Amino acid sequence: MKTQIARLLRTVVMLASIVLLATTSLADKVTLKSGKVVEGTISREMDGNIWIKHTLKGIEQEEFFTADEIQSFERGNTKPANSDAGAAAAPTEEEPGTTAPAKPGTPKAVIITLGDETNGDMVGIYMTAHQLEQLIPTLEKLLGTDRTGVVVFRVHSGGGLTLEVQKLSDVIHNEYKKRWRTVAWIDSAISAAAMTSHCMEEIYFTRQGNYGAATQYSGALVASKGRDLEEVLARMERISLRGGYHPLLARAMQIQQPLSATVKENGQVEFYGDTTSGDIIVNRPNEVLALNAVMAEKIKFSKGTCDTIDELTKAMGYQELDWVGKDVRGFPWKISSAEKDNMEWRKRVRQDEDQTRKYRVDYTSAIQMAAAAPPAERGKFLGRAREALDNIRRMVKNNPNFSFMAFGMIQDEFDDWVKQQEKLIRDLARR
Amino acid sequence: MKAGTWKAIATSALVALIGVAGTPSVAQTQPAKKAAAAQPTQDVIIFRNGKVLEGKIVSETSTTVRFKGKIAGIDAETDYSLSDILSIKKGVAMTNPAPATGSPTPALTTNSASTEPGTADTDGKTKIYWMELTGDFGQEISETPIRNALRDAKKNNADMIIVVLDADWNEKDGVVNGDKANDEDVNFDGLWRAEKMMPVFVDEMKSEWKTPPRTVFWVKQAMSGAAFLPMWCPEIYFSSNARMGGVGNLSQIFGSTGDDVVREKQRALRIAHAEGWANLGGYDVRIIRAMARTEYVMSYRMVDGKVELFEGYPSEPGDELLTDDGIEGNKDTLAERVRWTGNDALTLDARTAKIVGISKGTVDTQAELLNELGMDRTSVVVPGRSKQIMKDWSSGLDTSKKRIMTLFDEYREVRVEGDYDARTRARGIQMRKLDEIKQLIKRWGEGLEQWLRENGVPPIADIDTQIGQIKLQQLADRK
Repeated sequence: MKTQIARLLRTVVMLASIVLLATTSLADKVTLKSGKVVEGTISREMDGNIWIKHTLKGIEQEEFFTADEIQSFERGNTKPANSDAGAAAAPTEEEPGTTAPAKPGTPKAVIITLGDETNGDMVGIYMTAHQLEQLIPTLEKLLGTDRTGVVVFRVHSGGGLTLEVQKLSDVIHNEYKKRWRTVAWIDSAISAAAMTSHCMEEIYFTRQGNYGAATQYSGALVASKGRDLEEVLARMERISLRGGYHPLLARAMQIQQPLSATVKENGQVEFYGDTTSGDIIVNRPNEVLALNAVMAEKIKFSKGTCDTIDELTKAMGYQELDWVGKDVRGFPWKISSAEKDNMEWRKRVRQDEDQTRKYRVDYTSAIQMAAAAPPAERGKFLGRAREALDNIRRMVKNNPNFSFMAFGMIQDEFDDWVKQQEKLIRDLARR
Repeated sequence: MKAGTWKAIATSALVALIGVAGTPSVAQTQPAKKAAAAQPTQDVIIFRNGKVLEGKIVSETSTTVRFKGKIAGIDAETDYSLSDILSIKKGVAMTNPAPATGSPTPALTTNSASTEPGTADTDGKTKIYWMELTGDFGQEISETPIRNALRDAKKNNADMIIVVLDADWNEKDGVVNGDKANDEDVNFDGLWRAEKMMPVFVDEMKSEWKTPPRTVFWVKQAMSGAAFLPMWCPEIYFSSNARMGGVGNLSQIFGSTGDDVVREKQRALRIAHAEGWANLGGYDVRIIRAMARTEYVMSYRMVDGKVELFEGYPSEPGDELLTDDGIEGNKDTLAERVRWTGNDALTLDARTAKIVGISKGTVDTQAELLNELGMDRTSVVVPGRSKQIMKDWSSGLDTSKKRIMTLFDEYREVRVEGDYDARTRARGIQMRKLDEIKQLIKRWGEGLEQWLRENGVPPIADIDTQIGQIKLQQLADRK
């Protein structure tokens, strides 16, 4: 027995050594111009700059080296033995695609669409803070939380409710950016959709991308004025700070603010609140700014123009990204389980939006008929009423904004209303 | 195809079938029956648009038929709405049954002028698929037939797709019918309709094809929304009398409604959308502004043999003005507006399209175009079904319009009266009529948007609500 245990222990130790040797020799290695060599896990690359996680004197740390400091770097194909970098991402859900698997250690990424042409794109209805919050647990499973993961918001929206902008901005800024590298890939971001995207430091455009025209208005093209206007201007100043954008840019998208820009020799862009001081006229007097991809790149608002996932991967500074999900016909990127949930959510919202009137009329008519029917015959109408009420309740649970948008109530009022209706149904059934 | 023509074809197809199945004399009945028993049979569906399908009915519901047959030579099992079907013939003897070798079954009767794909002897040459987009933009020219034609192009392994764009425009002999029609038909917002179609070329082709084929637009008439459709495409050719524009109303689009800053917001987002498509095609985005906004002034000059566009009036000898500011003395005259020769906004013709880089060249025949493309000796036009696809779509729109109106009349005429069973039947009929209208709107709605509005046809959600109410009425009814 002792011999067997000793043999087993020897085998375990030997295997452990082999594993240690293999993993250590395959760690990422950054050689600096100073001669210093740092081994660990490269957590991020951008424009030749590198973030590398490694352990120094037993303390794990992440160091950043600019492209100028780096002589060369080599990627291993596994994490170093003495580092837990990437550990959070390791147990992620495996979602096989049809393409070859990415190298171990390759950062994982997902596309999350904000709006689509088939179901809907209105901010506040098809693009809500609530839905983005709902996606977080799934995204944590897919990408981990160690900030190696990448969430790309593919934005396709003609705008919507400015009421939702701050909430969306908060979720993206406080929750998403904290966990993942979070970028916007703009197909179309008009008005509230532009305001929402503005908190992200990294914005990429498709070639047909457009962004801006964020004037707040109501009714028959009536602009917000006075305090309302100042509040929305101030809000966008704060959101501009989150994204690191000059506040004049957002202002020119909101009001008739002339804007010009000059790209300095050092690559910095200076903005001016007129059309004469800068080299590039960004927004003409009397106009409201909506950027196209050409201008967005010219004034370095956009980090790049990319039509494909490969182009985006490169533009973000990666050699390779592990796009999590499955290939689905008709989609030019992989569909992750989070994105699948997201798309299905929009589809349900669309169905509910289309059926709102039916739910209401069904419910009201069924209640009226039940009230008018003799007690013995009420059951069938009350059954219909319950069915319609369930639809209404489910619709608001799926998208809480419907309580206000479809029924003109805030959430608490809606909950009370549902309770009252349930009581009404019970009372009618008892009488 | 016009409704009358369609009706004649559908009727003649029906008569032909009745002739085959029903004319034998009594004396011939027995032998005919024997022959029928010996001969293989099949089911035949005659559609309202004149199309005839043969195969086997797999299942039937109150609204649909599941049918197994050959579509474009490929075995397919498809659901068809009863509303599209004129007549169903079951167990019809095959006039020309397939030999035992299993070669494709020839059509029993067909009025289709199409040629099945894959029959051209391409002999290693570049396969060109030809698609002609004619008729009203947004109606006959619509995303579904374009999508179907592109799928047909894929089936035909096309290497190149040539799209001929000749959208109807309210005019006769090159002159718009009256000044009123002229001004009203200028419509930048046709962009939104074009944006339903452009992704079919841009996004769907990318995901449907491993390597999307080279696509070329040949513009003959592209006014209003049609002006935007080719913008995504890097290769556009013009015919000598082609025009592309009719979108120069952006500065006036909302009149005096609301506040100027909001009107400007609306203009800005529209311009940015359109510029995006132009950028995708590789064109100077300023052309969009020149086409759309009256006050935008654009000129060009030749620099080292190349055109240089610039904002502003000509300032050097040789500069040429493309669009002025449309103010006071610069405002286009009525005569210019009617003839589309003004310069308040840019309406591209063959010459100006070439100058601003939208057009690669001017051609008036297929041969000239192929020659320009360097394809005259190295290509073959594959005999696809695009003509038939467009024709089917167009006749389907006509048929569905008539059918929707008929169904509404019939729905209104249903009297819910009599005994319980009669009332139940009547409500059943009402619901079936409404359901059929709904199916027609779902299928053809994209090409009927304006017509549905003009004719007060309620949206599907309202029809659903109405069906729900009928169900409740039925629930409340007592024997």
